[in-house]
Amino acid sequence: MAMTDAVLRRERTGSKFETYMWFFTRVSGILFLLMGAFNIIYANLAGGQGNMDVGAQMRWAFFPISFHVESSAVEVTPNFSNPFWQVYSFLLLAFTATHGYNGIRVILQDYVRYPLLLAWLKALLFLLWAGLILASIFLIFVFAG
Amino acid sequence: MRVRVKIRRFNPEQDRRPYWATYTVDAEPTDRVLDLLVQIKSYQDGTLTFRRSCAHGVCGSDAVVINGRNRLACKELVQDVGRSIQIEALRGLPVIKDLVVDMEPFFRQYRSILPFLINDEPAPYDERLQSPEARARYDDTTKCILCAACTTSCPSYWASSDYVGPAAIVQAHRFIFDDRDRGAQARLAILAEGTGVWRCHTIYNCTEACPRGIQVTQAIGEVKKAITTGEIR
Repeated sequence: MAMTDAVLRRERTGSKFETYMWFFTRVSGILFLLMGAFNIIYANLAGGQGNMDVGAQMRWAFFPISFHVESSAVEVTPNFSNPFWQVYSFLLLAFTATHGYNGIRVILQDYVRYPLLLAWLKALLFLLWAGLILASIFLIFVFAG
Repeated sequence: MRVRVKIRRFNPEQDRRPYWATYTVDAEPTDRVLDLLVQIKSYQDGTLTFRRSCAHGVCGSDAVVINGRNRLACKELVQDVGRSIQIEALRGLPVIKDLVVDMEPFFRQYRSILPFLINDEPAPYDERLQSPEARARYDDTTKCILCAACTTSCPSYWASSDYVGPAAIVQAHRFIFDDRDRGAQARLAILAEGTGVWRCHTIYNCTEACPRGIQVTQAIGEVKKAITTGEIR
């Protein structure tokens, strides 16, 4: 019927961005916990057990770079020399950063009432996120690689 | 028993800001909070303004905040809320006077999710038949009386009235999971947008507030699932 068609058309804009971001938040949340856990288990199996304090273990979980755990006297730091650890660390950081920054975006959307301010804050947030991703690419693949 | 009723009052023609007025009322433990309001209006202060229609928990007119929780004044007994009762208008909607709020923003969100049967297929001679199992699928969300208790208990809605709110999603759920309806994809597309279900952060206030006992957060979760999987089950 013409009337229902008009009603249906009027309401659609069809953006799936929010749906994808919601799904990504769930998946990345599970993934980065598992990846962090794997990092800790690997570090301990590779000789870190007894040598690393809790802080070093936590740093190792989410950013296993040798100078983060300098004090621990562990000899087995991957140091991003191996492509597997490079990609693994980059994915871990990208998942964590995107997950967190998207969370801030959702909070801004919920609480900032002025559209112009919201647009500026979202742009700033995007720049921070993009800067972090670029810095991590540089650190993992160029500087330390 | 003597009951102390504290009501948040506001008359936009006289008051610059809302204030608390206290009344002392004689009541039976089995009286409802609505009875207290009627008694105050009839015998103590005729200017007190509130909505009520059926007074039996069906029409959804008298949802108010009672001791900090969204409740229907006609369903809440004095013995369950105590001798000191605090009543205020629903939060998140503009107050017109005393306990009466402007429901229009709420109904605008309700209309936006197409709350009517959409089916352009020619109807059979008598009626569109449905199996008891198919009817049971969405039974919970048919109980909604549009009292706005859930939507006005939702912190996401307080923060931003662009959010369609739990009540509108409950009403959408009622049609999305109805196998006689053909408008599910249109509704899911509306609810997948930035103002739709993703504003729900599963706070569960809505489920606690619903005077009909609808599992509101679960209904929202089922709509989220239908959007992500594309399947309506």
